[in-house]
Amino acid sequence: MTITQDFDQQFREVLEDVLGFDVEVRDEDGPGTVEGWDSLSHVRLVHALETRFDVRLPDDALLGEQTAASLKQLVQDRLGGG
Amino acid sequence: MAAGRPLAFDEADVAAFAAASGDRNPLHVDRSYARTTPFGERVVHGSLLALEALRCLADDQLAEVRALEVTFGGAVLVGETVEAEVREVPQADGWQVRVVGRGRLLARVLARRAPGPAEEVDVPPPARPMRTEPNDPPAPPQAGDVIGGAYAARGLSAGALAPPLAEGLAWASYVVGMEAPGLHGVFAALKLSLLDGGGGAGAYALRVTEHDPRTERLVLTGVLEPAAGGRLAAVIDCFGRPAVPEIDAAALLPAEPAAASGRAVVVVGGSRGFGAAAALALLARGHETHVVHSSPARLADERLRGHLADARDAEAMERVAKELEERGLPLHGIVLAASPPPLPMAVTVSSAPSVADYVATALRLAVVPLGALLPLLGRGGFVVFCSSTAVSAPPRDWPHYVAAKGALEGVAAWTAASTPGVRSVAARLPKMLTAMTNLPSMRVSAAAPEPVAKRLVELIEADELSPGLTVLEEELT
Repeated sequence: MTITQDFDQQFREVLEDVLGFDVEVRDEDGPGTVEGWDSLSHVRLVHALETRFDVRLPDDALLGEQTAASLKQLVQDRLGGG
Repeated sequence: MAAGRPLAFDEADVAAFAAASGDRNPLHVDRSYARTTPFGERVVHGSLLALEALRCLADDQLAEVRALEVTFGGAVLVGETVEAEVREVPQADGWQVRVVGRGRLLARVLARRAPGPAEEVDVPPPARPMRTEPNDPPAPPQAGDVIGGAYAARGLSAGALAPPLAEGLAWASYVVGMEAPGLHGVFAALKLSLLDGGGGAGAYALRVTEHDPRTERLVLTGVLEPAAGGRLAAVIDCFGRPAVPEIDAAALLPAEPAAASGRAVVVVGGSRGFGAAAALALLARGHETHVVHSSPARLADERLRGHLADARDAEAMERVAKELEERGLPLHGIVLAASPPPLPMAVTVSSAPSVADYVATALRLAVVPLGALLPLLGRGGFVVFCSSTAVSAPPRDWPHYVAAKGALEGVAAWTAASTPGVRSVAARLPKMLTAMTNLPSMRVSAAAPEPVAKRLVELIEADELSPGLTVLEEELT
């Protein structure tokens, strides 16, 4: 398994842990487009990503104007993996 | 999909659960306290909601449950009807109950047959008895702190659910509402797992595994040993709502009082938040400033003249108008700042009545005072309609709020067109940190109300606004 696959897998696990095991999340999804991804669970999701990847995301990430893809990018940027 | 089973909780249901669980947080049981929160009404304990949602399972299924994962997406209010529906989820070896209301998923309860992994925390003997008043610590607990004490639920009714799991739900409610965060706690999620053993300690221990000061999120991990036996591993996920700072009167009032203007102004909804800031900014201009407020409150300055009245009540507002008239000062301005708290909603067939009700309530809070006070307003006077930047950039969760503010701007346009000489101002206020917005997701990037109120009053008093309609947005930030 490549590092990228490993990252995607871990990212998906965090999404499932916070939003529910049966939730289908596409890259363009975000708060409001997936049942259960609301403002409160979004805050929990950002914190869970920070804990899992041991990074600190910018405060703007907590605001909810995010998608799965943009969150993934923010985490990757912090990990230095571009 | 099968039709949902309706769930509703009245005052007595919530009071009974407060007594059984020991979670007597005023957010659940004190209507006047709840009115000062973003929820606007008493909130049904999340654990009570989960317990009732689990009754969607048949008794033989419920008896098999060994672990629960509960996630809350929104509050259920006393008197509100929501719907629960259950389905079996083989991949999780259990069942999932979804609770839906206001067009949103409000709670999800996953009930599994197998206990989950547990992090061991030693349970010390119950050093501290249960609290009877919610904890309100000066500072939140920090990561690594251990919280513990005695716990016993009394008279819980949980049907066929294993009694320790039912007690665990009640206990988690107690922890969040009474212990940590305590008075300002908001319950977000819970994992409970029934383990073997347990010495009947009637006590718990929890370690603070995460504390994030940006959102005041707390994660508590530990163990409850119910007195009746069993042992539960728990992860409690919650948020604190630190008190919103009081309006900073010094930032708005000059050291030297301004000369009396000989004119009066009225701020409806002026005891808290932006309305209180606007009242002080107008007071600073030397106006005799009247404040209409619906719940008893200490006003931000003793020179403000309070009128305790429900702005939706026509008779009450007529009395306020009469009192103003008897003061004999010409009325120079009206600020309509009262607004119901906007709990998140979506537009669906079932939530549509809630959306429409919100708009009606919000509009009534403005048009009843307007109807009573507009006849007193002199030429050159002003009416400020407190709208929101939500009108130009609608937030996803607030269709009702956007519609209400849009309707308010409609009334502003009508006022301008039908009342010559009056300056009608639709003030699109930015997101501000007030008691009404004090939620984890809303605290981030919220502006302070004082500078916005100061700027608004400067614009009005500079006499740059001509009669007719003015919409202010960028000018206020």
